[in-house]
Amino acid sequence: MTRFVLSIKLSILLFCLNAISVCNAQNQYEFEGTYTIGNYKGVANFEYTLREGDTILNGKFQFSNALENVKGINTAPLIVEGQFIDNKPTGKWSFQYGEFSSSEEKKLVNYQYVVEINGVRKSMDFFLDQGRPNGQWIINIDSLKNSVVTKTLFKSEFSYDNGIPQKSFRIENDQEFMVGRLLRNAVAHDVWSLYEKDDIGEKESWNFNEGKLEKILIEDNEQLMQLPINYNNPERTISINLDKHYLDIIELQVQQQDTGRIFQHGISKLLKTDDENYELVLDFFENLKTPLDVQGFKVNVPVFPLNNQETKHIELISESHDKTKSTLQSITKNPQLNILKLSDNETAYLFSIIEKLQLDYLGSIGRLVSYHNAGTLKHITREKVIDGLWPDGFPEQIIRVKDSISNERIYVLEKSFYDLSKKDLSSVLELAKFSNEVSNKLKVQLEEKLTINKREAAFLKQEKQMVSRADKLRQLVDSLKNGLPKEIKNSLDGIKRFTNKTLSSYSKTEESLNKLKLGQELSSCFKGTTDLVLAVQSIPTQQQEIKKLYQDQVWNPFTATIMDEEVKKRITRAYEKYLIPYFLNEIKKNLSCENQSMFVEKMQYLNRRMLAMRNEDTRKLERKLKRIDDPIEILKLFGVSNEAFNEGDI
Amino acid sequence: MKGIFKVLIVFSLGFSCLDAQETNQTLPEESEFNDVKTRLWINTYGNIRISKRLFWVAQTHFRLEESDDTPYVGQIGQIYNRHAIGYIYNKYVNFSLGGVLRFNFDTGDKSETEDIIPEFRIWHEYQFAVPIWNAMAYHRIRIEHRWSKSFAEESDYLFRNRWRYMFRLKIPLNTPKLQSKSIYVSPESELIMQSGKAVVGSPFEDLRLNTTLGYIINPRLTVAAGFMYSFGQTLENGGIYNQNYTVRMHLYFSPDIRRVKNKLPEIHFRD
Repeated sequence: MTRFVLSIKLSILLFCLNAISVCNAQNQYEFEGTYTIGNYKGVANFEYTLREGDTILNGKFQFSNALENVKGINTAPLIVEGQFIDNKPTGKWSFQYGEFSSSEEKKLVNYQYVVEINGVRKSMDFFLDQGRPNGQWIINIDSLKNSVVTKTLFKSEFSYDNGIPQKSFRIENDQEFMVGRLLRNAVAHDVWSLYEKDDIGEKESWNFNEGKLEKILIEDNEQLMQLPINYNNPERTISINLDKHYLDIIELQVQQQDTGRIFQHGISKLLKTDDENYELVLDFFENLKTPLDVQGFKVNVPVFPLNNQETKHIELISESHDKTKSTLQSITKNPQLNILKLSDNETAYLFSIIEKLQLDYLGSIGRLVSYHNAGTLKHITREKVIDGLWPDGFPEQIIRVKDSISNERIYVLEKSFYDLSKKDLSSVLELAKFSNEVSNKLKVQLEEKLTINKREAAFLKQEKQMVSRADKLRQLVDSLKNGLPKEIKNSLDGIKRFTNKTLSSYSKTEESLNKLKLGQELSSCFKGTTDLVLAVQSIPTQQQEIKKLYQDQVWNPFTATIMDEEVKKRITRAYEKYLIPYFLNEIKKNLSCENQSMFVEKMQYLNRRMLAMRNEDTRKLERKLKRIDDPIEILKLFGVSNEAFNEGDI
Repeated sequence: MKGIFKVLIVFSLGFSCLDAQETNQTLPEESEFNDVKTRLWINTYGNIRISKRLFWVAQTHFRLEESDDTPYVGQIGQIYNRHAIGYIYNKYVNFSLGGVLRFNFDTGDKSETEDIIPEFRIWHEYQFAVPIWNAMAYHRIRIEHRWSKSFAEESDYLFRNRWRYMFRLKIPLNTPKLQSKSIYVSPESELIMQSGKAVVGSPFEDLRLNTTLGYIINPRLTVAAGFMYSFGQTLENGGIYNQNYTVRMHLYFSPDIRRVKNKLPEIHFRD
């Protein structure tokens, strides 16, 4: 038993060693295998120790998801190399990533087939000390063609000391570069300048004074434009990181003066791009549960706290905005409506209202909500933010669009009025409510449109199906008639007459829901009629089969030959003389959608009975048949006419 | 089948022996033919199936003949009752053995005391059918051992053997084969030879040449009618020949009195 337990333990140990190998005797392990970090799934190779059951990263660290697999290369690879000391990233780290596509051909280089790649290569190299940036932090974004760098799209260089950015930094793209200066505590200071690579002069400059941005100078058509920042005498100011939210605040501050739209290019753009690049690295270490301790540039901003009412308003605005957004999305993503708008002008008009609503109404409300969510809203007066977001004032409560023939059409809410007179959040809330009501009304209108359209389409589809079935039915009758006995032909002609009569009565019915129902009924009726046609058409074959079945082979002593002798003649006679003519006649004269399936079933059942009665003891039945010539009575005797088929007689 | 043909050969040899018998009759210079007698035969043929292989032959024939003033149907000539048990060897071959009770009427006013004289026969028959295209051919050998008596005063019963061979065709006219609703034409000829002490110079009793038109109502019922010319040596004088025109009407019926469960499929006789 002991030996058995030992061998199991040994097996488990060997199994574990498959992934983990012991590196040294002081509990230093190395992992090599598949590993998932956040959204990245790849192969990791790292050294670690175990402390009280926890994995403590210690030693080299490598991660890559760049292996080529059966699906081809990974078009968004990430390769990370660095090292940890006591679970803190320390020393040189490098991140390589980007977005690539591979060339279709493979080249032979040094006896290896190589796939060349195109796209954007990004790399980040930096030094860390105990999880804090310490030293250079360089970001490069290059454009690759056939695996060769063709252009540097972006580059930034920062210097950190113990997690704090220092002195000056440089950020550049392919056309321009900026230089900024910082105090020792990372506070933005002095002039931040932007230059074009091919020019000497300063294109743009931001003047900071110990974190407070005082003015922006910008050269516009060789004119120097000054954009002073008016902070509206805040009660207090605080220091925050220079990030995209800060840039939003500044953008709102200068919105009305900024005719050159500087925030879409220049220093602001470079700073935003740089800010975005850090997310990947910060998230990576966050997911490894070894977050970096890093500070951004510090800037001073005013604080205008939201009072209770404003907080309540902004929450309601946010709620209303989300509802409106989701309502409009449900409309714009509806494939049926998207198809319908191509053919229906009214739907197209309502869609253009939606577009207008999204762009002119909802967009700015959304931005306001996002400022609030990012904590930016409190750094700017409400009036200024409203001026920034709606520089021309709040939009009208009449939505104007151009329809397909360039005529202006307006969309109004007839019974509602929203008060947009004040320049505060209460008016924004009114605007949000207005947008929400419009979106709900649009949804109702479009759903109605869809219902009507669906009904019309259903009509068309229904009628198409019905007419096609009727056509096929008539063609079937015509194709089958040839070569059939006269009685069968007459009966089939009766079916054809019935089809024509039914269709003509349908076409005379006024369009309504009932007609749609009638169309559906007729469509399935004609399907049933097709079955009846086939049943009638097969009667001669069945008669032949029955005739053959009701024959015995008899040796005739006078001819010395075997002859067929008819047996149970009364049964076959009743079938031939009374029943089949009865069915054919009834079908010819009294066919309806209601009774046709009963005819089919009864005829099929009669046929089955005829086949079965050949071998049954039918002496009694034959005696009774001697006196009966009424087909209904005969059907009863044959067991064909009973409650299983219908309530009354056919 | 080989055995059956051997029987036929033996019969033929038998006839040649008969020819060699000495005769005391005075033969005319040339053969003489009596006047043609006209007759109407109404014949019923029953063939009643009693088991898989056996059937009961029940035939009744009414034979009318001319009288002085009425041709064909002037008076009753004979009433036949022919019965036998038949054995079905296969669908083309069957044999029968039975007896005949025939009543002969005195048609020539030869007797003052008797109007009807019974005649007795034992008979056996061998039938062979041969399909020829859509028609059927039949060979029938019938051998009769008969005791008959004439209406002449103080005559006794004479014993004679009759040796009969008939060849017959049945050709369907309106159907591809003989079946229900077939109309068929049936040419036939039968040679009847006889032998016995009384037969001296006239072994050739009758040669019947006959054509019939028939209608098969169903496998169990057939009607037919035909006309026959026949002639043969008179018993009294081999140089004198009787000749007849006979209209013949036939009703053939073949009921099956077996229980349904015993009616095996009829084609499987040899199973």
